[in-house]
This record gives sequence, structure tokens and C-alpha cells, in this order.
Amino acid sequence: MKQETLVIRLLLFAQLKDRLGRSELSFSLPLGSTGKDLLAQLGQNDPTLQSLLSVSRLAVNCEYTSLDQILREGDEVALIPPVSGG
Amino acid sequence: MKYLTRDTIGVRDRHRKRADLRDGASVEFLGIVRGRENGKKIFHLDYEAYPPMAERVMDRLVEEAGEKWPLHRVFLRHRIGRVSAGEVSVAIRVDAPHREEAFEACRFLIDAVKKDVPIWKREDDPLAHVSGKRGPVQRG
Repeated sequence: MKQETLVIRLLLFAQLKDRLGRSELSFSLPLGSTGKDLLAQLGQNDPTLQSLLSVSRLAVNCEYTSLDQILREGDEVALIPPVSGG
Repeated sequence: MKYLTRDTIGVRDRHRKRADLRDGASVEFLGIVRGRENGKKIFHLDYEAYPPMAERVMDRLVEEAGEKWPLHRVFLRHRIGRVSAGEVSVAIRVDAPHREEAFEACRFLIDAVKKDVPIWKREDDPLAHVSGKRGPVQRG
């Protein structure tokens, strides 16, 4: 059977983890979905996240990436809120 | 882990490698947890990281610094977990032939670490008690 959705595990950190109360979420997205689509779905579930999402960066397989990147099954996707190391 | 550590970063760690005789300058930056912030007393900070990505980004930054300046030794270490006030949270040491490149590279590295490495400081981890662990919740 042809697979038409992909399941993405999204890792959350810091403020995002606090806001959502968990360190990862699972999303079912249509094949060909991008980081932007993932964020849209997350924002739809909780519109109050919007401002935090707008300043967060997306990382796929431990690399910062553009929101236009097409996500693939098995990708390790993470949302990186503004960092504050040092 | 090469760049992240749960242990204190001591002088011996930072000076472990032998001096390179081509180098005439060594610049060290230490980030230290302040005991007071905005008038509020701070006992400790908890540093959370996305470890595999933090390691990768720091590796890349060290490589980038080595391409920009003639560096022979670079030491970079960032604490994760609980760090008490007065303790070193991040240490960078750069050795180079001359002071200009050593200062510039050290400055580049600390600025880039603060901007790009997925590490977050917090005064308290609200999820710590949920997971039953002290300090930041680690993945996996």
C-alpha cells in the first residue's frame, strides 16, 4: 500500500517544552510537507504559541534548516527557541 | 561528549594540551554564573541542551575559527545541568601565533556559541519534578 502520510517526531526544548509540557510531539503530515507545514499545524493546535514559534528556528537532523525544507520519514526534527547559552 | 560536560571545568582541563611552539598568544574567555541578576539572588542556573546538535554546532564553529585564523589549539567546553553561582559555565581558550588572531577568534567563538548553540539557561526547571529528575530533562 502506498504511504501517503509521514509521521514526524518533533523535539521540543526550553520555553517550548515548558509551554507544551512535554519534550516531544508526534505529527502526522501529508507526504511532501515542509517545516512550515509542521509549524502551521502546531500553531493551529495552540494559537498562543505563535509569537514563540516566530522566533524559533527549525533543525532537521541536527542542522538548522529553512522552513521550506521537505520533511522525510525518520527525520529528527527539532524546534529551537532562542538559545541562551554562555 | 566533546564539548558539553556535566563536570566543573577546571584550570587543568583548559591547559591540558601541550603548548605549540609556533604560538605566542593565548586568550581565554570564561563565562561565569552571576550570583545576582536584576537585583535577584541567584544560587544556580540549570543549563539544558540538545546535546547531539550542540556538539555538532560547536564542532563546526571550531572548524570555522580554524579556517579564519591560524589557530593551533582551541579549547571549548560548555557546562550542562546545574551550575552554581561563581562557577564557570563556558570556557574558551584559543592559542595562536599572535594576539590579534587569538583575541579575534576567542571573541568570534563566544559570540557564536551564544547565538547558535542549542543550549538554554534557566533559573528553574519546571519539568524537573515531573520527570523525577533534578536539573534539565534530557532526551532519550
